[in-house]
Amino acid sequence: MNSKPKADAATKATVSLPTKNGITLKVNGAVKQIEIAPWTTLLDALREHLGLTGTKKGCDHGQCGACTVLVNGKRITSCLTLAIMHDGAEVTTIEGLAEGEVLHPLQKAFVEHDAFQCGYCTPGQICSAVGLLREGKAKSPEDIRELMSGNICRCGAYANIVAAIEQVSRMGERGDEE
Amino acid sequence: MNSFSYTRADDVATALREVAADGAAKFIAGGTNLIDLMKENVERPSRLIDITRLTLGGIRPRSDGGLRLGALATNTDVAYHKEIERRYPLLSKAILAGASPQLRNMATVGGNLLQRTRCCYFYDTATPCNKRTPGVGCSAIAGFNRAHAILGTSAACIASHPSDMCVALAALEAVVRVTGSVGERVVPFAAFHRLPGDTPNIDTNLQADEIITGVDLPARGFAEHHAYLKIRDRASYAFALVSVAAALEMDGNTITEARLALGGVAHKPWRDPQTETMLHGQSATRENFKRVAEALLRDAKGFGRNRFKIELAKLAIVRALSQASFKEAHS
Amino acid sequence: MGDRPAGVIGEKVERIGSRERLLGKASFAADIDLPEAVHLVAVRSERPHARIVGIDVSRAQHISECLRVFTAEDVPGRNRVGIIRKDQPLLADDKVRCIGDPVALVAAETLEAAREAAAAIRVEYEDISALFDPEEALRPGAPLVHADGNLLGRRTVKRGNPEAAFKHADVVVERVYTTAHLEHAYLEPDAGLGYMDGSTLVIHASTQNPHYDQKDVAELLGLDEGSVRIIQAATGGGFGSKLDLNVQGFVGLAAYLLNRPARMVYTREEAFLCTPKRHPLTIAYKSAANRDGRLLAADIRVVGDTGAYASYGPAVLNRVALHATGPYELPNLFVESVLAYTNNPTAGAMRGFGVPQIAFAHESQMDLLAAALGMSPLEIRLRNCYRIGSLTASGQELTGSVGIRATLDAVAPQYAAAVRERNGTVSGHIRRGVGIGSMMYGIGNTGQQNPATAHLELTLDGGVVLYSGAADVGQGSSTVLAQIAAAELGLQPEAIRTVIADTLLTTSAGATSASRQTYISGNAVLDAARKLKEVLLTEAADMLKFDRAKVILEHGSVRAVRDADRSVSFAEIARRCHKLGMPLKWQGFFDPDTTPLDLETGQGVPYATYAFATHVAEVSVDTLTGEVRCLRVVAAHDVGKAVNPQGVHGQICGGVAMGIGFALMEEFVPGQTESLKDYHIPSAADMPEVIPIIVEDPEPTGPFGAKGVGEPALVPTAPAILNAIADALGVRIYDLPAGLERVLQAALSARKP
Repeated sequence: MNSKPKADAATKATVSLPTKNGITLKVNGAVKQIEIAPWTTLLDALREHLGLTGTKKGCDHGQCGACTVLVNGKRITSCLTLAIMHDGAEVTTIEGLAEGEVLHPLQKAFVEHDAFQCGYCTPGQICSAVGLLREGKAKSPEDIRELMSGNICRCGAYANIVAAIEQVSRMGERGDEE
Repeated sequence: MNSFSYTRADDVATALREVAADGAAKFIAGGTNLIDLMKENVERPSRLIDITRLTLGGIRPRSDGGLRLGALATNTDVAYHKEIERRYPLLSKAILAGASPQLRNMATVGGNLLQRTRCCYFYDTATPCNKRTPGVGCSAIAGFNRAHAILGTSAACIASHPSDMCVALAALEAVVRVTGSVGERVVPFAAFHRLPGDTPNIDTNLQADEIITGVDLPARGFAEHHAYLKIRDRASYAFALVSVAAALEMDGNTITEARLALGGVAHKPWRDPQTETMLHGQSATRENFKRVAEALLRDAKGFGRNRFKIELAKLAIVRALSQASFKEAHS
Repeated sequence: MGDRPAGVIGEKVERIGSRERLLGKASFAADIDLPEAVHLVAVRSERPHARIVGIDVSRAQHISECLRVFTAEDVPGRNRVGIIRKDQPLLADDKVRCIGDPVALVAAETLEAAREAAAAIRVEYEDISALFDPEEALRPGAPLVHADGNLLGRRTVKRGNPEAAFKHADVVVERVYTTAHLEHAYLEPDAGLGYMDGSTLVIHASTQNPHYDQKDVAELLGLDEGSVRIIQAATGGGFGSKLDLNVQGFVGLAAYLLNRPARMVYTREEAFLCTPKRHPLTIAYKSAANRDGRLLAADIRVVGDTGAYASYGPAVLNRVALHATGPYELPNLFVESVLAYTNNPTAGAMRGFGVPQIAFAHESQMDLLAAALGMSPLEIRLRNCYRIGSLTASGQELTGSVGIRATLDAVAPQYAAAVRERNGTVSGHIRRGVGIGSMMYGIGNTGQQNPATAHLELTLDGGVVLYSGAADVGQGSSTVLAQIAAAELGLQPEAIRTVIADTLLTTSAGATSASRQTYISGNAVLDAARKLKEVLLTEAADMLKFDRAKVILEHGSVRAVRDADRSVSFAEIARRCHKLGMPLKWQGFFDPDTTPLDLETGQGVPYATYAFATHVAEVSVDTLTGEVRCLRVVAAHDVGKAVNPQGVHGQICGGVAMGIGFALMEEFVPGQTESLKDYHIPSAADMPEVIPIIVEDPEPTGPFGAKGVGEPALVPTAPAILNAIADALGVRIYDLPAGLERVLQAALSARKP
């Protein structure tokens, strides 16, 4: 994945391998069948095969959290997992949180608190926050900060992100309507 | 990522058969480390055997009063398990000090034991690394090595083990259960990971035809007197520069048993049981803690930028022991 | 001015582009769906300095899905880019000057094939001795990075007679400060998509500077500017690094030569390796004061590493020199700022153009002088800070909007409270510290013209469309510009439609850099709005047969001041103008009043206005581990006028976050910290409580009095934190970042008798 020239990058596996496998994902409530290679990550499957580009690739190594989605209700970094391993799973992405024109409470809170600037980390922040609220482990703003530390925001909108999550948390919103 | 074939194993026997049939095959579970390494071209398996559907999850009581962690239990499962929180809070805290919630939701017990060093040269295939390609040399020894090992290093490798969970498991003297073609065996935690020596490419004593099925926690969890101290470059979501798992049993102010495991300082979670006995029968004082810290680090060796870790580790040990010596107030 | 609606300037306004970002529908460059696009991957040098002997592309060409490999000879126009100095090849021709230099570009049907082909290309090099140290690079006989020498530039600033003043000073403090390379680490890796639309090359790019991109891409390809159209895609942060061409030249070259859409998305590794960094500087700072704390003289010598190419280096070296005193009067001054080419990664623009680095030095010096004089850090700043009538380092007289004193006054109660709290908190190995950092920042480019234009159009249905070339990279300029237009036209901001940063539809607003868009583009928008307003009022008065002076704009209509029933809608006015053949689109223009600097003395008027700020940081320092926690930052900023206070707060909080990274953890080591695993930036858990205080000392030439805040937000944080660490330990750190090992060492040395 590195564009830097690598000493041993030129050797490709020579055996011919099955390059496409059919899998089924229930994405944002809709059943989707896609043909993917075993090495297709869940992130690439969402972006390249399903056209769901709301989930972002920030580092592709699980170090920034921009690709966070919910799989069977749990937040994970979709860049570090293979789509093929999630055959049959339910996946929720940023595109699946609002109901039509009605924003998810976290989306609403993010606008009210101006909880983003460039917006690139935002889908991951919001999906991560949905997972966080469902986990029910964050009892204080300090907990929220610690348990959102896997979602990096270089614009530094953290204070507003935490405030937005805290507000929804206080509302008792469990963030699990999908 | 290289191309590879993918199969899903439904039982342990099949998984073992498949891995034995292909020398370049690998198991995959949480994948958080393996896929990262594959993206970096460090790992290039010909085949991935998905073991996530094996029945190796769960956390169950053992007849000896301990607990068994299934190899596929996720970090989150373990860290927030009621019995772990109550009886093995050291383990819970160590896990929660590592990675991010997203990664902890994916990463498994078995995978955590098998994760590889985060040495930047190991990750960068444009630089020589004995762990990747034995014999080509180590770029870290004279390189940017502030995160690297100070104990148990060799001329071939100064990589450090990245796990937090394993540091707690080392202190708790957990036992690793593995199954292979010749049957099941148990490996004491201290014998599971290896020092680099001349073969830094081999991280553990797990054989190629074996699979981790679980980790057993002995009955003693040191819930009353423990501390996990992690020192890193930012407040959260960073690997340890130094971490310390301290576990004590005390009678009044007298230490009757002491366990100390260090993370971020060696190729494996670092234990020195002989030195720990210095604390037995001693009172919990800074002076005694300092003596044991000095003794634990007596053979430490720095390599330029990581030299500060020697002093830091000593201070961290004293701090962790002090914290552990105060009785934990259960919330 | 009764016709300016309430709730526009200085009020909370929803950020333009919010909804699509929250729904995951914003189109960042990598998101734009164009299935037939070819994928581009660059082959990059792994040598820091080498002559290219040959490039063997034969193996790549045999890969079935590989379409073409481009090398320097394929570049049809001038194979040199650069915003200030054209010294960087798009594709290396004779030699490579740093690791990561692009040598060839592969176009393939799939990304996998492009990567495979790139890996199959063999480049034969002949190594040249490489330079990694700017001082070494400046020595006679050093190998040359560029044929005309390794000196990128030198700026001197001279006032009074520092040598004499030092002799008579009561205290003199002399120290050396160093800072590290930093990575911008915007969350969106650089990305772009290009295609031919007839004979026009269209590029959607993640950029801060579309009109510059247009020029350089046109020149690379030998086209007229009009044949290249740059459209800014939603941009996931820039912080200065997206001012340079990143992928635009590559996608332009491939789309143009292949006549097929072409896409390029940098990996995170490429974003680390191949985009400009913050300059590491070595700053030798000598300053002197008399007994009552008045600054007398300073002698400041700065040497920096600009890496392989110029990028914004010349701007950095000027700005460093002109900001070297900080916001303080210094009658006797010698500053020399020098940047040298090396074979390290290129350093360019990063939020503040060298000012964060020099502010670390000048603010440390202020505390050292205060300590030597037994004076409080707040007091020494109050005694020396600029006021109306002060002369800056360049001899510029400050005539208005000099809010530094107001920022110091604003934080004074919090500072006193923090010091009291620190004195009351004694907890063994955890020490508390309080520090101040102040700064000034010149808004806009240094000593040169840097105009912006903007247009406002009245549509036949009475709507108003704002056209601006100003790239909004998350800082919120589009929202602010819409507010300014709305306020002048009696509308609510959401009534203004915006067309932003598309070179076909908008004219140049200059770069989104130097904290300049609110002030400069804001003024251009205001100028356009006034012209449109003039037409609206004149025509309406005519239509209403009413006195021109007695009609006002309100909610899309013009009405008589005292008679709401006598009104005419914008739509009616638009239709009338249209019928009469009058223009409906008006251009606004603004260029700040500056003069070039004297080459020898650095005297002149480099900026039309300055922003000022003071931060107070409270930290706890663990003297046994070296861990520093920043607990609270009180951040007072003179922004002239906060057009969008919520946006200003956002900038301040974000600046503090970046400042914490600069102070405590960030260090880009070429070849080693090239991932977010190894290069740590602050997470939510690192954030202190931030208390923004907006100070408004209106800028007479600013739109509604506004100046800027984007870079100022960052500048004072690190100095305040470093001063707080020194306050906690009694030992000062002179090298950034103040990572664990440095703080631990300082703590250990503090304990020694």
